[in-house]
Amino acid sequence: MRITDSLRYGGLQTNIETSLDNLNTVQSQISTGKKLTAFSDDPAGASQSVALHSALIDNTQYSRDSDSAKAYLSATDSALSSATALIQKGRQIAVQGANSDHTPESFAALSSQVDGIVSQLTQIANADLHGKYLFAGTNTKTAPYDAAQNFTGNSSSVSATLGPNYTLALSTTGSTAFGPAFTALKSLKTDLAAGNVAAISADIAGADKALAAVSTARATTGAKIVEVDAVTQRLTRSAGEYNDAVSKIEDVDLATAFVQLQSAQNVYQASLSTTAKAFQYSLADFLH
Amino acid sequence: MPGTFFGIEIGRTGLAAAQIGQDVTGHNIANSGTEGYTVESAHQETLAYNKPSSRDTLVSVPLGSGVIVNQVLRARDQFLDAQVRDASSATGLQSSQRDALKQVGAAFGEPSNTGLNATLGKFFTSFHDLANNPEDLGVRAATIQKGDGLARVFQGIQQSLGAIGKSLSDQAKTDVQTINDYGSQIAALNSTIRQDSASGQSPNDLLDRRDLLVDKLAALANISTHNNSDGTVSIAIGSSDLVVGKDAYAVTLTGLTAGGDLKDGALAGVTAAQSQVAVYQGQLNSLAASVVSQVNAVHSTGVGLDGTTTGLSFFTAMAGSEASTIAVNSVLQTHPEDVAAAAAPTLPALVGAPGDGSNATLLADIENKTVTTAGDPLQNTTILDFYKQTVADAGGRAASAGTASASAGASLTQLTQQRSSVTGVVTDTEMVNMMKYQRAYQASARVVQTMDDMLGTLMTGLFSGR
Repeated sequence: MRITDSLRYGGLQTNIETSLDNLNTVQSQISTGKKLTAFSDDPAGASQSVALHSALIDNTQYSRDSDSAKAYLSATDSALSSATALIQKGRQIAVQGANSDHTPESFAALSSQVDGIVSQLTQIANADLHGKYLFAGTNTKTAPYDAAQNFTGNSSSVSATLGPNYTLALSTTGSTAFGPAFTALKSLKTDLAAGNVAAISADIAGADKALAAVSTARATTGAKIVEVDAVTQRLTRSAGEYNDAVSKIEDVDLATAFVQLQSAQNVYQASLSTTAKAFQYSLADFLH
Repeated sequence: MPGTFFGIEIGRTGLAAAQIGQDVTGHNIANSGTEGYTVESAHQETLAYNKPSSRDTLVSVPLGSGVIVNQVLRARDQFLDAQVRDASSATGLQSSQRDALKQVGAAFGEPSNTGLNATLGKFFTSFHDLANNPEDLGVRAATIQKGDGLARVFQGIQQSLGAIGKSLSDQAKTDVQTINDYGSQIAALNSTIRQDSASGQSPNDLLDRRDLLVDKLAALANISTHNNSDGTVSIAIGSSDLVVGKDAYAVTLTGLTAGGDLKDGALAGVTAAQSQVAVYQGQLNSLAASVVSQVNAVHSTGVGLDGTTTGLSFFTAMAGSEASTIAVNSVLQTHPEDVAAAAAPTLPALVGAPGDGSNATLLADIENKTVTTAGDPLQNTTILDFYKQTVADAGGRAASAGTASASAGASLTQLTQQRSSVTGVVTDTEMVNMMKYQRAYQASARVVQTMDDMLGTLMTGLFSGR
């Protein structure tokens, strides 16, 4: 084979370009930390990574959903817990009213205490989270109980989406949780005012029913909080796994990359020095 | 007995041949860097000897009468030429496709947190926020913003694809123009080469220029060449003639593509990429159309915050060009309270509840729902899957065009090197030739001088004695 000048120049030029291109690829991978910058770098991996990115976005959203569900349920739970205490206080008053001798004045005092409890309970039943009434069903813009303790909410439920095809109803219907309590307390108030001891004894049973209703609602809410916590944990775990998988596809393994960089640098240097030395001598140097 | 000055004449032919040899060497060295130059060599032959006359009693053997350079040869291998041109067409086809598809990949910009995939995801998940807080006007505004962002990304990608398509179509026009330009240059060269060949000359440098043009032509399109006996070359692309003898015929892009003549070369790559880009534009449009119709279908059944406003579209778009015209309904942009987060009221309720986010949940579900609507371009797939397929297709094609172009490029480099080994100039060889011709010239000069001395001996010796 004749080794012509154009063959040598062309070959060396191509080799320098190739080795520089390789060096540049490794350098940009290291400086960006990404080995996957375009879909064409690794179509199969990129396709997987796109799916993982979607999953991550969904996952983040579900986490936010479960956080807000948790806040809603916790607020519900704390309202129900205060309600329990109030109803128990009402029951104590009923027991007091039924068991000891009372003057009409002391009956009236007890009755006004119950009245205070009713209005406190109304406040609790009208509890809100960022302006959203907890016990109004989906009629969240209007306080569920008016001054006469009439329920204006509905029995629908606010719900949270915690996963694909996985929604959780969050609302505790006000009338179910507080209805018996209002009935019992208002009747107690009336009976205390009238000093009707027999009726007051019956009201104790009413207060017990009211307590049971609130406890049931609390138990349900508690179970939901546990459920949401489990979902949050699962989401956090799988977010870690997704991020891991994305990183494996997209990110550069620095140790490997630095070895590649070193070797690309060596090749580039060698090709430069070869080119510099290749044309040092020609016959012209020896002709006189 | 040859003539008196026969010997001097022999010396003269030697001088002339050495000088021509030196000239050719000089031409080679001067052109060692000229693109398309083919190394030349002076072809020497002995001059026909003089047949001794039968009456010649002194010399009865034939004598050579010197040297002549009768041809300047061009080192060319037509077989390698054809191979180089084929490889050049293949490289042109693949590399132009690779370049265009890489641009398409850049237009989609995946994988990233700002591409359409992420924007679609964020848009649909924003309906979850809406479902959680349908009463909140801020959340409603945020959902509209996400919709607006999605519309912009759709428009941006479609615009980029349009720009790529436009630049490809410009490229194709330029390529056709260049092909016709080369065609007429080759035809003009053909005409001169034919005249020169007919008059017995060897127009090496014109042949070099013509070969170079044919090489460049091969990079653009699949050409077939035919060497005619009169020294001209005819060139055709498929069945379309480009050059026949001294005549050039202009080709058109429609003529080339309609007849199926265009199969290889950069122009074929450009046209293939052009139609591929159109496919992606269509797919993006289908995707946008499906997003618009699915979201609108669910949105229009729900009710706004007031519980009664219903029947509104979330997106507006022009049919047929959804991806470039998609926008959030202007009514919603000024009235975020009309975003239909709530389901339509079911009797006995007459108005929807403000805390009801069930329609928003349905809207969020669209993202991963398999489309069942007959006639929808996304039927039997989901929005994300359809998009993923489109992007994966573009990426896969760019990757395979990249690999193919690299391998075609490698074989082109190898063949070019092989050819350059035949046609290129080796300066060291030329140096040796230079010495060779210099010495030959010196020796021939000595021959003339010696012959002259001999004649002098004859002249002075014979006449001085008288």
